[in-house]
Amino acid sequence: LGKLLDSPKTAWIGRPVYRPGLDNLGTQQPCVLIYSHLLPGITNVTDRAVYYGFYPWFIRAFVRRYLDADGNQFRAELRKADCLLTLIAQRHGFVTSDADGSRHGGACPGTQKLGPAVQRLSPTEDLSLSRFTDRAETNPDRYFKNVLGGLGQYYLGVLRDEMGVLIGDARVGIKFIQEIAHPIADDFASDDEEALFFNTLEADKVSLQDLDNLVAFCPCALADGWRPNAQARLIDLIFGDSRLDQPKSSRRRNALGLLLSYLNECSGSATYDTVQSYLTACYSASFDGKSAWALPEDYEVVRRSWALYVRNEMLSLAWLGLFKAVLDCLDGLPKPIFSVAQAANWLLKQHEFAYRPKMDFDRVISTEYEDLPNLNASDNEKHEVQVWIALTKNPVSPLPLAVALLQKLIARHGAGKGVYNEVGVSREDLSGYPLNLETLGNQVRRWSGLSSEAWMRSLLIEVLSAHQRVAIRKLGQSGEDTLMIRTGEGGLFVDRLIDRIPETQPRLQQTLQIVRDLGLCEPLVPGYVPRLTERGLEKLAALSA
Amino acid sequence: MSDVVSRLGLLDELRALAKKSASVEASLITTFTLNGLFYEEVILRALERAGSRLNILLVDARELAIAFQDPNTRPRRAGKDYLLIPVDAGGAFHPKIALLFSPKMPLIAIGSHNVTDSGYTRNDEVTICWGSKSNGVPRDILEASLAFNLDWARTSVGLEELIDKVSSRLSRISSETAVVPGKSTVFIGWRPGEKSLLQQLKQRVPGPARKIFLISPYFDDNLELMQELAIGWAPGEIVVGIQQQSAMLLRPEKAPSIVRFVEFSAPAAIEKSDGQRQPPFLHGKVMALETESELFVVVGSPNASAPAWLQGRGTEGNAEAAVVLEGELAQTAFEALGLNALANAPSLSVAALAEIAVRAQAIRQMAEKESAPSIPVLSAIATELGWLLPGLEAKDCRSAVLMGPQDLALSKATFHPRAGAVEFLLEGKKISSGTLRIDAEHGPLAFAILNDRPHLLKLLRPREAGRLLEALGRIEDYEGFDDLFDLFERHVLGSESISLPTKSQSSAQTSSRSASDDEQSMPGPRGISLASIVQSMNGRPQLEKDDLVADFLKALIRDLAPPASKNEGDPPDIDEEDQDPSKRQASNSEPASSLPPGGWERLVTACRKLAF
Repeated sequence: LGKLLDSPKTAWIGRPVYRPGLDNLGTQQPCVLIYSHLLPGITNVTDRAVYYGFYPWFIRAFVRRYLDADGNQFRAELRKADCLLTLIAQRHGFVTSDADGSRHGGACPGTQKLGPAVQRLSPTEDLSLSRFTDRAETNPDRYFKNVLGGLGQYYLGVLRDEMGVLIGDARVGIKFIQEIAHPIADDFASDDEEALFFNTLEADKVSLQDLDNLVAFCPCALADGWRPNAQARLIDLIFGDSRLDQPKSSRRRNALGLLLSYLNECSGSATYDTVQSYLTACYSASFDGKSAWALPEDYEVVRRSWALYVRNEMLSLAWLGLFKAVLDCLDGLPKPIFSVAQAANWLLKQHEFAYRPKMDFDRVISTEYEDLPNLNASDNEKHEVQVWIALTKNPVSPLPLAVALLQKLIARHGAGKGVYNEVGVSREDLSGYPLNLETLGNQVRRWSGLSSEAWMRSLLIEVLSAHQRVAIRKLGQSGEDTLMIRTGEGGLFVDRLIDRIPETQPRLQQTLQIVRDLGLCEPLVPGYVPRLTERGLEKLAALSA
Repeated sequence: MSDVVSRLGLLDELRALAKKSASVEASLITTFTLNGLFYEEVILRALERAGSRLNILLVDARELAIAFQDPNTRPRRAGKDYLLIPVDAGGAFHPKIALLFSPKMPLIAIGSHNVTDSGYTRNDEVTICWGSKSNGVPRDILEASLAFNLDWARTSVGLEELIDKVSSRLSRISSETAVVPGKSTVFIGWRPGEKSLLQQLKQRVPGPARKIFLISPYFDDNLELMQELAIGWAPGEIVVGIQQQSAMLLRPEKAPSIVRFVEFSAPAAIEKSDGQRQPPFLHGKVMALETESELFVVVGSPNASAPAWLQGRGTEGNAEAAVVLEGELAQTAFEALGLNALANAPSLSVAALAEIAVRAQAIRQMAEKESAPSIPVLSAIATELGWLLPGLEAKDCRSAVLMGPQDLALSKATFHPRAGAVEFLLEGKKISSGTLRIDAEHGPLAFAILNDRPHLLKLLRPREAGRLLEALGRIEDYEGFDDLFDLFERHVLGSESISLPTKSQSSAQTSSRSASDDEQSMPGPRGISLASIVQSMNGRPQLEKDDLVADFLKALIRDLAPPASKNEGDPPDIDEEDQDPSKRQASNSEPASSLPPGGWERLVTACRKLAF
């Protein structure tokens, strides 16, 4: 062994982990920062309201039942509890034949493994919970790899960092804050329900009858009014009613309030996409595409923040559209190109990049400014929102659309500074992300006076440089290789392509689901904006009071 | 013997150094082509995380000029955060060596890997590495490669004094480095005044050889190296593995008749590369010589070309570096690198070779057409107010641009003739480090790098010394401190390393634990009150070990210094009982004008007892 440890290794160099990064230019980062600022406590993986109560309740109940339990016991029971809840929800969705399955087991941890299992289960059979909770790599039925299951993977961060209900993690252990967790746990389930749930866990097997007996735990029970105390408590928690002194609670409350206002204004009207309609309303300051949307100041601040998100999203799509066009054009054998300037020159000679704005940069912007419709008129074909929507539909040639969107954004908003001040995004937050609304201002000043050819060249250099900087920085930070274009010994080549221009997911889908889980709106089906329920109207009124 | 490992994640190794508490003191890396962004954001970041303060990068001067011309590959922190040395080797400065100096976990990697993203993450590159899985590095390889690099560094005009200090520091760190026997391996490298690389190889592998195996992406036009191999070792066959898609083989017909070209691919990477549009570029360079009795494998930077191996002939030779392996190590390397696939690989047809030649010639022509004139890169010397630029003439210098994320034209730059040089001055401001592009009337004249000598000298100090100075309140005059620290290190700290704070050690231990360890140690859940998680801020902070060391050093300095005037300053406005006990003890010591024989040892022994 000693000899082995003294020896050198002669080998080919191994490659780092490859990840197809979504934010290849770092343009999405400001969007992420903005929606994180607006909706603290709701993330892209916290889809269901029930878990904000279920996990605190379970942990408190576990501690009461097994006072001296160690971490291993806790993890084992937590994972079983996670599975059991998903099984209950899946079973209920199956029994009710609800067309809207998302009310029941949608987005519950382990649905992919547990859904089919419960569907196959006959009335005379049992399912072993441990079969799904065993973390062995060889276990084909493992519901989740994370040691703390759905809590560790999805909800722990928000319950700890944003809601202040829990502290700790899988390594140091989980603790609950008594003052906050006790009321949630008290209201989440009765003692009888708790006993039934834990007895099932201890038996480590469930039949369909057991699942039906535990139906009160189905996520739909909150919205359907079967658990009014839990519903009220979770509305209080998620809207931050009891914690108005906390800035994060206050921001989340206002963001939810504006969303309820929008749902109320739309009153179930038809829409292509509720999230995009809402964001369009925020950006254009009009929920009907015609008149201005009058809002109280608290909500107006939120609307402006979402408008800024949309503005950054449009900028991101424009840059990424240009980047996609670059990748598609450069694809093929390595080309004798060794700098971004050479690459830009080469691209401009290709027919795919024959497009040029009709005038020099300054005249393009001034003409665009003259032609832009009113901000409220988002249905107008010349409105930037229409170009945004077109870019999200994966156009064959994104280049003209990307350039047009950039022009419109510049013409509409100019080149101001301090763009992100209102959403708490600092200069440091954006260091390492070279393409954002703040840097756009600097770029506009540099582009002034450029011919259309020179402007296009500058755009290409910006996009190629940004990718290199962002991807190599990521390689240094995380060790993940996300480079899409490389310059090797043989010249420049495209390593990977992107299928479609990536959009950010601003947590609004999750927010709508949570609002719906809380019984504040219904239904959540494609084609229509959800309508506020009586409870939702009451909540909106209370928020406005 | 070593186990067979076909792939070694060199970048992962570097990135893992910090987690492994490698406590790297310094690094010295050489490259031909450079992506400055990659070095600074990836390699340097990993080194700095692992504690490395003194980082040195040697780059081929012409390639460095190319890197400077592209804002994406331009070094931005050079001169301030690391020592950047352009090397003009006549031919190419081509070695790819990474030396990491650490008492516990040193690392040497010698291979074909340039400091670019392709070199470390995408190409098929070959390396021989000590320190990745081994317990140390062989002293002879470390010393030979260090001497090789320092000799080349000294050729950069203007850095001589700094290089001397670097040399002294690195030699000292090297002497403390964990070593393993260097049996069966020899470092060979070419520098002026030495025999050609091929002659050096001939000394190690006298020949004749039954077979020679070569892998290379580049070849000299007339295949002179192959002619020399055929003459020098009289092999029955020379098998040359190439990647048809990329090999720069312009005149295959020039090969001796015993040469057989075959397609070669490095053993497949374990890592998934789904969706990659191009195969990895075969950039590794390997030579294997099979003699009657033994196998030798040469791994390093030299391509199968005359400039790489035949220095001293007509064209200017390259600086190259490689390691020759023999015996079991060579056998293992042969297997690991997949060279056994060469022997039975089918020969490429004449038509295939002709196709390769046509493609290679087209690339050569395109490259010549696109190539910009070479711009010299020089090391500037700091003057009282500006930069001295050796080798330039003031009449040629028109303007200057400060290179950075965005180029900054220096409108108030002036140039003044000095003996054999030009002094650059900037009205109203002094730039202490960075890179300038000096422009002539019709374009760039030169790039000039100014390494911040005082700052880099600080980085030469051991980490502990820097922290002690910091703790002592950033005293203005460091003169003599290094000697004092030396004493302190030897007498007080002894051989114990205090380079890592306790916090880092514990966090490193935590991070290196396996998931199952974490799980085992996790306590069960508990409920706690809000009040219990509010930290009490009223307690007096506990002095950490580092603060104690600083206090003790203060005591030592006080004892060595002449008695201070008692009239200077007011006593501190603090009650004795409020004073920290350790400080009270130090302040109670009466200054001694001189130490009696043996006093120093007694004092430091007392300090050690207190400190540890």
